[in-house]
Amino acid sequence: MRQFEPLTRKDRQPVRYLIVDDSVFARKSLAKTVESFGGTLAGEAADGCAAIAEYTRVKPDIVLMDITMPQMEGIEAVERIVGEHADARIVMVSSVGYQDNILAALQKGARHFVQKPVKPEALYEIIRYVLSDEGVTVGALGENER
Amino acid sequence: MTFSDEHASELRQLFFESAEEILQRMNEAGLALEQASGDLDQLREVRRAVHTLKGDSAACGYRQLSELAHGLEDVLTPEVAQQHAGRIAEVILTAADTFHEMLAAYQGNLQPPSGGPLRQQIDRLLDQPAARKEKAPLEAKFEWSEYERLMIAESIRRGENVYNVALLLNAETMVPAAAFELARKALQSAGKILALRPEAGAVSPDVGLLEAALATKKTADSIRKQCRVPTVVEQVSVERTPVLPSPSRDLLEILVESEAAAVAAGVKSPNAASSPDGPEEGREAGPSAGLAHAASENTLRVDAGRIDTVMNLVGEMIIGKSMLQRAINEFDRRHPKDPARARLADALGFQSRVLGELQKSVMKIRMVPVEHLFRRFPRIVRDVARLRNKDIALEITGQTTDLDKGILDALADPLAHVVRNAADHGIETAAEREAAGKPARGTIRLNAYHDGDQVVIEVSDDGRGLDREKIVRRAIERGLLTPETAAQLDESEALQLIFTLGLSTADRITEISGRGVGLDVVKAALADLKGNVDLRSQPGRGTTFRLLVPLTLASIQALLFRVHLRLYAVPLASVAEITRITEDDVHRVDDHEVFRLREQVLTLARLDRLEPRMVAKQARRLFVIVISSGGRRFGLAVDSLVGEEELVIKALEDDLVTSPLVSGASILGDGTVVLILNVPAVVSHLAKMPVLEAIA
Repeated sequence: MRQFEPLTRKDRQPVRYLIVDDSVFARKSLAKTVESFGGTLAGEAADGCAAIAEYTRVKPDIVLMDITMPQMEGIEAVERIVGEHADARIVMVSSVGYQDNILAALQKGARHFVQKPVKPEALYEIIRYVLSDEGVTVGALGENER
Repeated sequence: MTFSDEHASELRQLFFESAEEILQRMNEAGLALEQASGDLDQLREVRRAVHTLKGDSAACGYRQLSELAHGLEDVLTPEVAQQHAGRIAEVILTAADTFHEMLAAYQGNLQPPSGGPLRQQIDRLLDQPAARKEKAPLEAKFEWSEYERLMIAESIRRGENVYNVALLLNAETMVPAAAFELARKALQSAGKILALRPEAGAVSPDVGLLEAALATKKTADSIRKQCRVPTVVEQVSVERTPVLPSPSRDLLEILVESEAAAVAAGVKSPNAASSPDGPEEGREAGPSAGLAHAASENTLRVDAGRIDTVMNLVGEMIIGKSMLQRAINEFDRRHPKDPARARLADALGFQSRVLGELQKSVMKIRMVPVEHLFRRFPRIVRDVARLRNKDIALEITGQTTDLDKGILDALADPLAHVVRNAADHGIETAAEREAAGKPARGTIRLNAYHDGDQVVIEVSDDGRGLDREKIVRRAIERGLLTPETAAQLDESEALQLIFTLGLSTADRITEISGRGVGLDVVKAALADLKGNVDLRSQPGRGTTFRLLVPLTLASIQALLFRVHLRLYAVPLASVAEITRITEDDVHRVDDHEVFRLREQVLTLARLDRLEPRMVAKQARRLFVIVISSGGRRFGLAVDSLVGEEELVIKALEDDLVTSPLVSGASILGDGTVVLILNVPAVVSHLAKMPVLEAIA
């Protein structure tokens, strides 16, 4: 897998991710991707309920949230998490064709979305963008500006 | 006919029916947009309807219609509506008319009209946006509405930086609405959005360029950075908004007072614009309109003929029931001690109760609210008002009143005639009205309600009223009556003259009403429906037309009586009371026979008047049925009373009974034929004639 210039927090610490997906494979795959961005996996959850608990516990910098999950859907989890933590940065991960769900999640406070299969380059740019308002130090210039 | 042919023609029939509804919706939306051109919900609604029409007509092979609908769809966008606020409603209304003509042509297998004028209107509106589409995507126009320009000027005045921002969205995204939302959020985080194109909630799948006016304290660079949303926005351009010429003071006042709140809400929170409780929507869409739309979701289209068949069968069952009743009565007489009698009576009672319910249910199927009829009138009134340069408001009440579908359909034309007449001749011009001390805006009121077994539809205007003298003069000029008889006419009789053939009080013949064919047609149409029309008028205060029609043409509760061994019936609802008098009680006044009922003197009508021997019989006691209808009472002399019965009305062929005084016939359980009197016709006949003619 291609290595990216590490994305780091202002304090030079690695960006901490919470990955929420009901598929173990998807979680592993996303974890590998974010590690290639220089991030660390702070927590994992397989459904919305667990995601809320896990968010409170680990306080990640970024949440990658699947839209369709058992128990509690991603949209509801977004609403609950953003309701408690207004600064939560959640990026929705969805399969093709869930436009209405994506739209709803964005309206509930998700910051961005990425579609499966996740292209690491796209996700990298998205995370850089989502973190940028917090003044994250970025190791390298993005693709667009090179 | 092969199966597929039959199938296709059934489909076409369905298409024509649904197309009529679409045209109605276009008319309504056109009128609403004429009042509030910024009503985007209406615009979306009509666009959806036109889209449906486009698809359906293409499926039926009506290419010209489909192409025109396609062109129209292109025009019905918020952008075009914004740019040509006043003209969008006009195009929609023209389109409704053009489509109507085309549909009529298709239905008659004729060559449809070309729709040239509509095409030109569409092209004119499309001119600018079309040119814009072809240019390079980032050549944004930033054409803000006057209100938005006002907001921009205001922000600049407060010392904020206002930028025109254009975002080119990624054309390959699979989720354009989500992409749009994300871009909009990016804009929002960069500053305050004063204007946005396309507006949130109106995103079409091919949205490429997003334009906004943004008030912010940030620099152009930081806006650029914030708006470059990865995977969603491909290109960003940010430029200072040029200082716009400030709109005139008038406009500012008007806008601030009337629209500011609504528009600002729409700009600030786009969600509010699409929410069903938006302030615009609440005002524009009447509750009944919403109701009708909700109801139409859960309806089933059934051929009216099938319902008629069921209705006829129910009618036969009612006749069957009375046959059974007769048989049981006879059984009672022969076997007064038989215990089976009670069981038979119970069974018959149960059966007749269920039958009654069944009949009511079937009748209800045929019932439709008069709203279906009233919906057409806002457009008619608006067109007349426009053509005559008048200001006319239309108020509609009682639109939920139910009426038999057949009657409703037959009422459409006469009622439209009366409404047009009220708008064209009844209501004066604004100048005339003000001179008479009345509000400049005239009002036409449409109302419907049940009155006994009749439905009354009232059309009243607050216009100039009818000129009694002029009506009488015209009638004399035409030789319809002599000056002597004219002098004897009372007020209401004089007014009734306007229902006479070819009499019109209008000085000028207009293309709307007038033309000589007039209210006599209305009168005739109502008579066909076994109904009636009357009117009241006060000079300078207005005119009210009352159209009375029976609730249903299917069955009535009737009182049966005999005259000369022949059986007749009158609707029970019109019977006020029954009394007995002797021939000595009958007096003659002028040419009328009258009798005294308590404090009142009533005209006595005889069905057998033409048979001279009746007059010779003196001191005979006779029954008098006192009939009350439309505020008039008269007595009907009969030989004997037979009883009450539910009668199933059988339509009579015209060559069987020619008298308008008979509204139909029915068959009793024993096969006897009974003639049903048309009470309103008898009343108006009494007014005209000294004595009633024999009818059979």
